[in-house]
Formats: sequence, C-alpha cells, structure tokens
Amino acid sequence: MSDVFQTRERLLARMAGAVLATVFVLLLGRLFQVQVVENSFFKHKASAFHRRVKKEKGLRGTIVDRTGAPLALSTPCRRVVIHPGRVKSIDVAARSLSWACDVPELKIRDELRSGRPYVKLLDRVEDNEMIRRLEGLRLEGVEIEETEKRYYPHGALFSHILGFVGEDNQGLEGIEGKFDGALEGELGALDYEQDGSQHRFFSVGLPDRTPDPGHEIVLAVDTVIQSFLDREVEEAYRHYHPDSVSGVVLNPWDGAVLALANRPNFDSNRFLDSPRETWRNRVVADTYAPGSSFKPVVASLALERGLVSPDETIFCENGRWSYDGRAPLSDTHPHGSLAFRDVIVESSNIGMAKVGLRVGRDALHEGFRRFGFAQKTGIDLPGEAMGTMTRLADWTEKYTTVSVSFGQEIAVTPIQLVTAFAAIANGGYRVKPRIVEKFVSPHGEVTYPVRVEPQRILPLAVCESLRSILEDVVNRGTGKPARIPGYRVAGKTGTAERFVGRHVNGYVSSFCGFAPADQPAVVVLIMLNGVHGAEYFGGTVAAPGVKRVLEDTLLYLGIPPTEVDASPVAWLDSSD
Amino acid sequence: MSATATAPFVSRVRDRARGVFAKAAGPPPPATVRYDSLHLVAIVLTLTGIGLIMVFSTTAVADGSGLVDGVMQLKRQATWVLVSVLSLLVTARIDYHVLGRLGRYALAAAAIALLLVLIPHIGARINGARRWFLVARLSIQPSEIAKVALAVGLADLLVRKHDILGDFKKGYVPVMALIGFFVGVIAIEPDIGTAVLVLCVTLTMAIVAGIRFRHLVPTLLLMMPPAMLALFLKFEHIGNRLSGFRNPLESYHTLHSLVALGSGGVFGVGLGNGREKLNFLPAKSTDFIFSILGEELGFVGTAVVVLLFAAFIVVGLRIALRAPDRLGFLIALGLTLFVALQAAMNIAVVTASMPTKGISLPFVSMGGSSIIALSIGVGIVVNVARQSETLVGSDAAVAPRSNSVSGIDASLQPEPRAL
Repeated sequence: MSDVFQTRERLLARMAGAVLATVFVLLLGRLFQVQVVENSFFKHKASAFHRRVKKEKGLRGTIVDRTGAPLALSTPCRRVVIHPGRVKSIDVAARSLSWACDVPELKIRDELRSGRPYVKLLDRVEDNEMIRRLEGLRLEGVEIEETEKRYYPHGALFSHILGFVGEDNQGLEGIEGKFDGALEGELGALDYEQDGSQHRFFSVGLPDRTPDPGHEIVLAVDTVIQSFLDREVEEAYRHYHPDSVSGVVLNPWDGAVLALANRPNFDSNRFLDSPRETWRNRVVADTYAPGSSFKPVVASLALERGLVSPDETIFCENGRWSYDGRAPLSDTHPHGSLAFRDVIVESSNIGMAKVGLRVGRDALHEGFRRFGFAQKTGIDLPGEAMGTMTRLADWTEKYTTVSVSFGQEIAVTPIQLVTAFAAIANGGYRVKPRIVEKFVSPHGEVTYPVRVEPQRILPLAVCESLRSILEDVVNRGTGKPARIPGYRVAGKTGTAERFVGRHVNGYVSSFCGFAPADQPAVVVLIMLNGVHGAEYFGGTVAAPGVKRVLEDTLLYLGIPPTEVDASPVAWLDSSD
Repeated sequence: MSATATAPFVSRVRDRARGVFAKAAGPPPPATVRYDSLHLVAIVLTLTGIGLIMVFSTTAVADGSGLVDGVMQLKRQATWVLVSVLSLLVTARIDYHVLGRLGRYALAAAAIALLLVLIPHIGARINGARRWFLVARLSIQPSEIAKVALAVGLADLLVRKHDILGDFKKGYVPVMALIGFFVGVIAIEPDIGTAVLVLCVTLTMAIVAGIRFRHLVPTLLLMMPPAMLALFLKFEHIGNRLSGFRNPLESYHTLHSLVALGSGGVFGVGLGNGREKLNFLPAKSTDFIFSILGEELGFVGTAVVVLLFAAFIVVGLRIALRAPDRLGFLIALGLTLFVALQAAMNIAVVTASMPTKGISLPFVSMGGSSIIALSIGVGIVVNVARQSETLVGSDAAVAPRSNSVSGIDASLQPEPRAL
C-alpha cells in the first residue's frame, strides 16, 4: 500500500518539477526572443527614450563699459512649450500644467485647442521649482527648452547706446542690433542622454561641450560720465520741457564716445512699454539747424584762409542789416564795431554773415565737407543720418552763404557737431566717433574695430586762435554760465529758430564746450530741441548742464585745475 | 534505458559489498556523501551575490534629489543578507520534525499577521494595497513569512491527515479550508500575485500528498466563476494590468521593462551602464531588478539566472525525493516550489509574458523580509537534505534518526539509489 503511495507521490512531485522546468525553458525562449531576436527593435525604442539631440545656442555676449562694468548680460533660463498634437489628454494636461505653471486652466485649454502646432506657454522662466514640478509631470507633448534672458542692469541709462533684443534674443537697436553677429552665441547641436526626468546625463557622440557664448563687447562709454550726462540731460528735459534733449561726451583725441544720452528715452529691459518714438537715438538719427554753435566752423574756414584775423574790426550795423535786398538780419544785442573775436563772443549774426561772405560759397561748401557735414561720421551705431546741406548748384551767396554763417539752412546731427568741435579742440584733426573699444572672443582673443587715422583738416594755429576765442565766449560772452572756476573752459552757445513752414516753432538751443581749453580732455554737447518757454538761449538752457558735466568729468578724470588763482578756497566759494 | 534498467542491480551488488567492507574497513568511502545541501546553498549564495551587485547597480545612481548616498541601499541590503545567512545556518541545524510540530503555531501566527495587516493604521497602505507592517522604518511583508509557515504547516497537516485524505469531510475539507483561508486573506490585501503563487504551490503539495481529484476538480469549477467575478469587480487595477499585458508597449511598466531587457542584447550594455534605471523603469531594484540585469548583462546574464533557478528546482526536488520521510519530502517540495514558481512568475512578468504583479525575484530583489523568509525556508530544506545525507553517508544509516523522531511508517524511507 504505502509503496504505491510513495511511487505516486514521487511521480507527481517529478511532474510538478517537470512543469516548472518547462516553464523555465519557455521563459528562456522568451528572453532569447526579447533580448536577442528583437534586440534592434528595443535598442531603437531605448534610444528614443534616452537620447536627445537638441539645438543649443551659446549665451549672448556681454556688453561692458570701458572699466569692465556690465551694461548688458544674459542669463540662461527656460521656456515651456507645448506641442498640442502630441498631448494625449487635454483635461489632464490643462489641469496639471495649470497647477505646475500657475497659468489659468482656461488659457491652457484655449491654447491646446487653438490648432497651432507649437505654443509658447511661458518664456524666460527662471523659477527652477516650477521647472522641477513640470519635469515631474512627465507630460507627453510638453517640452522645456533652454533659452536666455537679456538683462540691462542700468535700465534706461544706456538704452540709446545699447538698444535691445527681440523675443528670440536677436539684437534690434543700438549696439545690440549693429553687432548682433558678434554678440550672438555659437549655434551647436547637443547630442546627449537624459534620465527619466528629462535631465541631461552624459553626452554620447560628438560635441561634449556646450556652444561658446558670443563675443564680449567693450564699449568706450564710461558709466560714471554717462551718469553725469544723463543727469543733466534729464535736468534740462524736466526744467525746460523741450520736445527732446540730446547729449554727447566725446574724447576729442580718439573719437571715443564717453557718454551719450537722449530724452525722451526708454528702459532696454522693457522697451515695449515705451512708444517707438522714444527708441530713436537722436544724437545720430536726427538733424537740426545748429544755429550759432556752427559759427566756429565758419570762423575756422575764414581764419584758415587769412580772410580775417581775430582782432580785425568788423562793423555790425548796430544790430540791423539788410544784405542785397534780403530780409534784414538782426542781432539780439546790437553792436556797432566789434573785433572778429567779439563777433563770436557776442554771437553777432551780422558780423558772422559778413565774414561768411568773405569766404564764399565754394570754400564754405568744401570746408563743411572737410569737417564731415552732410556725410555719415561712421559712428558704430545704426540709423545714422547724413544731415543736409544745400547743393552747390542751389547755393546762393545772398541766401545760403549768409544763412549758413550763423548756422541756418544746414542740418547737422549732434554727433557731427560734436565731432567738428573735437577737431577744433584737438588741434585740427577730424576723428571718427566710435562707441566700441574692442571685441573679446570667448577664448580671450581681442580684436579692435577698424581704426580710421585722424585726418588733419585745420592748421594748428587756426585752432589755437579759435580756442582762445571760444574761451572768451565762456569767460565774458554768451557762454558765461559754463564757466568753471580754476579751469579753462571753451565753448559756443547756439540758439536756432526752428521753422515749421514759415513760422517759428520753438528753438534748438545748444551748447558745445570743452575743457581744459589748451589741452582738452572731453568735448560735451547738450542740445535741446523745441524749447518753447521764455528761456531759450543756449547759454541759459544748455550751458549750465554742460558746465556741470565738464566739472564732474574733469574731477572724475583727475585733471587738475590749470589757473593759478584757483585757490581751494575760491573753489569752495564758487560751489555755494 | 539500459543504464536505468541495470542501476538497481548494480547498486544492490554494491550495497551488499559495502556492507561486507564496512564491517572490515570501518567508515564508508566519502564518495557516497551527497552534496545536495551544499549545492543548494551554493546556488542560493550565487543568486544572493548577483542580487547584491544588482541592488548596488540600481540604487547607486542619483535620483535627481542630489541627496543620495550611493552605497546606502547596498549597506542596508548587505545587512539583510548577513541576517539571512545567519538565519539559514541556524535553521539548517534545527530538526525539521521539530519545526513540523511547531508548524500549526506558525500558521496561526501567520494568519494573525495577515489579518492584522489588513487593519488600517496597523498595516501600511502603499500604492493602494495593504501588504506591509511599518516598524521602525522597516517594512515587513507578512505574506513572505506566511509562505514558509504554510509550506511547513501544510506539510505537517498533510502528513497527519495522510491516511484520511481520501475522506472528504475529515481529510479534504480541513486541508482546503487552510489553503482557502490563506489564499483569501492574501488576495484581499490585494496581492493577487502572491495569492496565485500560494494557491499553486499549496494545491500542488496537497495533490502530491494525495487529495483526490474527484474532490478537487468540482471545487475548482465551483470556485472559479465567483473568484473571477470578485477580482474584476473589486480591483480596477487588475483590469488595467490585463490590458497592459495585452498591449505591452502601451503600459509604462512593461514597456520600459522590455526596453531594458531588449536593449541588453546578448552581452548587455555592461554592468552599471544601464540607462533604464535612471528614473525610467519603476521598481528598478525590487520587482523589476531582473530587467536591469538583462539590460546590463544581456541574455548571458539572464540565462545564467534562469539556469540557477532551474538548478534550484533540480537540487530542491532531489532533496525532496531523497528526504528521510514524508514530512521532509513535502516540506522540501513546497519550499522549492515556492522559490522556483515565484522566480518564474517574476521573470514572466518582466518579460510581459504575464500580467504585472507585485512579485519579487527571490534572493535577487532588494528587500529584507523576503530574503530572510526565503533563507529560513532554504535552511529548512538544507536540514532535510542533511538528514538524508547523514542517513547515507555515515553509520547513522543503521539507525535512521527519523524513525525515532517521526511517527511515519519506516517503509516510507526512500531508497536513495532507486530515485
């Protein structure tokens, strides 16, 4: 009996074992099928999960001032995009995205149903916590792209120099627009592996380096001087309510633009908040009749040809003079006879017209071109205007020569005017104004923009006599408000009527000055366009601002006072 | 065929001769000592070693939190392995007959534990199922312990009822009630995978021990429809898993499990190089550790593991068949089946050959209570093996220990050579 049971039990146990062994053989076969036969299929599947090829761009280059202080810089951030076609459930996607991104659920639903293939849900996200939440969702059709955000730490201070970048970080205005190519980061494809949370793991294949950032651009601009100028431009804009104000500080020796400011202006970080009109860099893009500040240019041409000497007496017709049947000219302050020096010091239009007539139209036309009027200065900013000058064919002595002698019937940009003053200041050289000092590649190689050798356009002697005349303008003439005790300041005021049709509509009031007069460190121009108030003389509305910019800049640059009688006490007294 | 036919004759001659020589030459030659227990332990230790390596490989990677101690899980698991080896060594020295008599208490304890785990606040709910006790940051799964208790306790019951198993009321019903109770409480957790495993193994034990098919078949036919209905109505996730099984590439778990295995190829991507463990494959160090093993070590690696489990069946079954008595036979059979079938189910799940179930791979998957329970089970099997080894390999064969210990008919003692 028991032996029979025993055999039966053994048999059943062996059968159970045999069944299990068969199962293992089948499993072995299944493993062979999955791992060996279907290997390539699953390898393909695996690489779809693990591999990513992503187009990646290096960060946009930084823009710094001459001291290295950053003016525009980029930081990496993310962009959340949806491919609605790949989203499985609109409900789930909308609800979880709303939770993760803090965007109204309805808005996401609308975007998902919009039928667009690519929706930018959020751009320039810097909240890493939000990104982590999104990654945790592992939503099909939702991707997180790398992008960058451009920062302008000084906001509006440099807006007209720097410009701004558009939605895809392309440079649109200013240096950003002009040197977009140099600033743009390297474009590369990144082949890498990711983990289940879409984090990059380790790269396979080719470029295991992130693409290079763009070039760093070092500007000639100085943040401190810029803040001086900006302050005064703002002050003039607030105080006299002109349509616009422009200001430039130029190094007369190499053409470096140390500061440049306009009103109205905008914040580069939020350029869309300001009207388009404010984006224009009026220093280079707008032209004005310069008025009396143009007189030194005409005077230099007369002096150069020996047609007049500084101390020659010129009859100023007691303030009213009609030339050749032309409508009579008048001077603000009537004078009888004046030395030529005082024609400029007192800013007599009649005296200046007489000198201009001596030079004649051909010499004036040629001379203006030599100074660079009616041509682009070549400054490295976009949108530069050429200015206008009457064609030689249309140029009449009666009208054109007389008018241009005191800065009418010619339109110049502020940068042209300041460049002309720089030539007088530096002893006769025409310089090319420039914003960019140098480019620094991500690997530290430095390249300089093409330098134009300064051209001699005036003899030194002419410049020296002009500088002494312009010094007199400040010391005892219309430019008195620009006087700085202890320093020798030279400059010229300008007040031009702004014609709209035949009517005068406000004034273009300016002052362009430099100091120290014998060895100028900087040339400063402040120009108010469309001054309507009771005070509109350039000496009143522009000269004080120029004075304060010069004063602060000379102090900042460490240039000592040159005049002997400038005792520290007198200095302190004057500042009260 | 001729070899098997002559075997009994040859062995009979040899045994007779040995008897003659034994009197003359003292202890028998060592060639007669069997190494079943050593083989079994070697297999288990190899699997455990592979498991430790894979646990390290799957847990040493960062999880994105940046706060991972790469060897923390390895140290934990190594501690469990150490405890397991010690429990194996200890249980191997405890006479399984003693354990057999304690079996009913073990069953009672396991039953209480399985009921307690269902009570909220006592049993922890993880992923919608109450299967664990959380004690001092350890999670203990009572069904793991129940498996060992059930193998021993059921074997004990079957031996005690052996002569009346044919009797429906006195033999069949108590056995089936025991099986039904345990399968039922495990299924309620819900832990359908383990319930199926327990059902298969315990029924096999009962069938082998001699319950009648004429009782069993109608019972199964009666139980099948309500059981299926309950499963589908009560547990939504079963439906999900079945659909995941039908379309393996649609279900996240199975898809990534297959991708891991499939991308391994013949030799694998290299130990430690697996990609699916990087936050893709869930339960990468527990239920799906075999997939990562397949990815990193390829078909060669998975085949070695499968063959090790196949060897475990062979050796375990041989120990069962050579057991000194029916109790040892049934215990060894039951425990062997538990380990082997669980391995088969786990591998079937990860290869998408079976719907997903929360079943770990014995000795390989990370986890404390599982490997300790399994090692205790292996220790008991080793004890069974040692008793038959003692029987053959020494003079103790003259007076088999089991005769004096168990009340089982001495004629049931296996004749080793006839196996």
